[in-house]
Amino acid sequence: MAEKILEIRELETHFFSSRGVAKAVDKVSYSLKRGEILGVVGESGCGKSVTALSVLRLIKPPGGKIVGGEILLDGVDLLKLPEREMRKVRGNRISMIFQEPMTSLNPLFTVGDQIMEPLMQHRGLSKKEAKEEAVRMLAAVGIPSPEKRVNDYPNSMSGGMRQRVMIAMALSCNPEVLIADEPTTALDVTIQAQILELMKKMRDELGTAIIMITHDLGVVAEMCDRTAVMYCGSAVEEGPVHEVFKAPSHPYTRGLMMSIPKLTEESDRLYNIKGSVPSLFHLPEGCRFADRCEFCTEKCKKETPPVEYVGPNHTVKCHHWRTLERFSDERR
Amino acid sequence: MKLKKRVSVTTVFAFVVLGVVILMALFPQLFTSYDPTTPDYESVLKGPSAAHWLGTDEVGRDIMCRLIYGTRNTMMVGLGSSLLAALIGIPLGLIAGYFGGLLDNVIMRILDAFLSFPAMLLAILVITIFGNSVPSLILTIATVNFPRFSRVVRSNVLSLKDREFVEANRAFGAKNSYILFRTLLPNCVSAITVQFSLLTAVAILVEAGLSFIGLGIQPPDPAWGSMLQYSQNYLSQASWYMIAPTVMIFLVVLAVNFFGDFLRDLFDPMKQR
Repeated sequence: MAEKILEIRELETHFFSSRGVAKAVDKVSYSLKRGEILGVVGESGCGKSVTALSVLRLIKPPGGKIVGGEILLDGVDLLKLPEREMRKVRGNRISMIFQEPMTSLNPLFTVGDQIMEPLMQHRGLSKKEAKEEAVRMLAAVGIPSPEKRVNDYPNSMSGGMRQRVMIAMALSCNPEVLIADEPTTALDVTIQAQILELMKKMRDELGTAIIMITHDLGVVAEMCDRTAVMYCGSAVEEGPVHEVFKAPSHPYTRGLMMSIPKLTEESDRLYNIKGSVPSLFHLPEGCRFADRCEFCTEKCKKETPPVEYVGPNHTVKCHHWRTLERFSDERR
Repeated sequence: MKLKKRVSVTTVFAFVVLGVVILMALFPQLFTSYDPTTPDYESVLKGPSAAHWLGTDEVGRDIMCRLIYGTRNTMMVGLGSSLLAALIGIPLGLIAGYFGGLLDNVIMRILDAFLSFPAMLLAILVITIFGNSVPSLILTIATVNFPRFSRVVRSNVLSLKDREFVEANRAFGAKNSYILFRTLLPNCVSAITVQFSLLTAVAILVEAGLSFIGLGIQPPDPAWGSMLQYSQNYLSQASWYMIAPTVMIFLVVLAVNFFGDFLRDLFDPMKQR
């Protein structure tokens, strides 16, 4: 199980505009093991989604371009594949589900047609076989009376059901990796729980590794084995969820954890990380987080921190993670 | 697509009118016993009577007969030019809208150049090159009209292409051709059908305009547009003359429009309840 199915190494995706170059993803590295759920967290605009789209090479020219790094799917660099080969990866070996289930399905075709399409394209099934498979997938994702629903149009389904259909579609070709870009953000809380439960169940049954992009730390705690925290286009900390959540090694992760309201503690104001995210057009030198960091020193403003190992599976990008740990211990 | 819904009055109207028009175009001799081109100087510009239901024209030909025989030319020019315009214009609009960037700019600027030419000038040019015949009329009017299809389709594609289901298509490994023709095109159908019915009407009228300067359907062959054109000269003496072609153009345009609505509803799952 420990084998890495997907490994992103120093990925750089830039957007070119008249205002300059926005380094949306700047040397991001994280990896995904077979059958594991990785939670990618970070605030809006930190590059979570762009990283995911880069993995599928769906960044659109001329605005955006992947300018460097490697994306290894089972050892093969996706960035070097020709477009034809890449199409065989999309939806087949890596598939993706989106944030807005209401608009992720084509309103003019039945859900069955849409689930059948990747099956026929990637697995070469006949129309009849694909339809049977679509019904089976709909049943697997918990759609009641799937043999009837398969002929329904998306407009007759609720958001939760459409997200189930998306999951059915994404998993129909039994991909090795599923990228879920905030799959529950647009759903209400009870449906959220059901969808998360379903994804977990599908992982257990099919062994699909999942990259879960979210800004909901609760979802990560609930669902994920490991987590990668992104800030300003770079992955600042990566490690097993229980380690990262219990003893965050990066000041930013720490800030995130502290800004979650706790039921057990009484306080009037929520903690917030001071300052705001720097513009992607004018990134500061050295550590991205330096301006907002309470542990910032001169070194932070000059040198980009290297990746350091906190534990065997736990990495961090901070000059002061050791002292930070002591600091937290003292506080406790 | 399933056809299990209630058929509306407008759909029936569209099918009846278009059915009759197609029959008239294919077998005009079934509907009248007159000859559309033989003049009869005994009865020039006569009002409606038992012998000539819709009266006679300036050289004594039966107007109803000319209307019926004119159907073929008119429909060939009207529908043919719109079909050709759609065939050229729609793919260009799809490509320009979907790929964007430089390609979009190049395509749209060329189309702007086409649109900026006065239609008549362009028509004269095409007819000068290809001679005066029904196919060259079709080509002429298509040349004038196809940029309008491109524009409508492009604007639709621009708003559609960033919708998540298009992104999802790509994420599931769809080819560009699939996205263009199976995802984007069906979503443009309603805009296209509206444009189609409008341009069919325009085409019939452009043919009339061309007849006026002698570049349309050549006399004595009948066509609705040219009949309308000639009838204007006799407005005070024979006011009934112009009514028949006007009503026919109106009915056909309306029927094409309703047919467009029918097509749109057929493609629109929201209405399939």
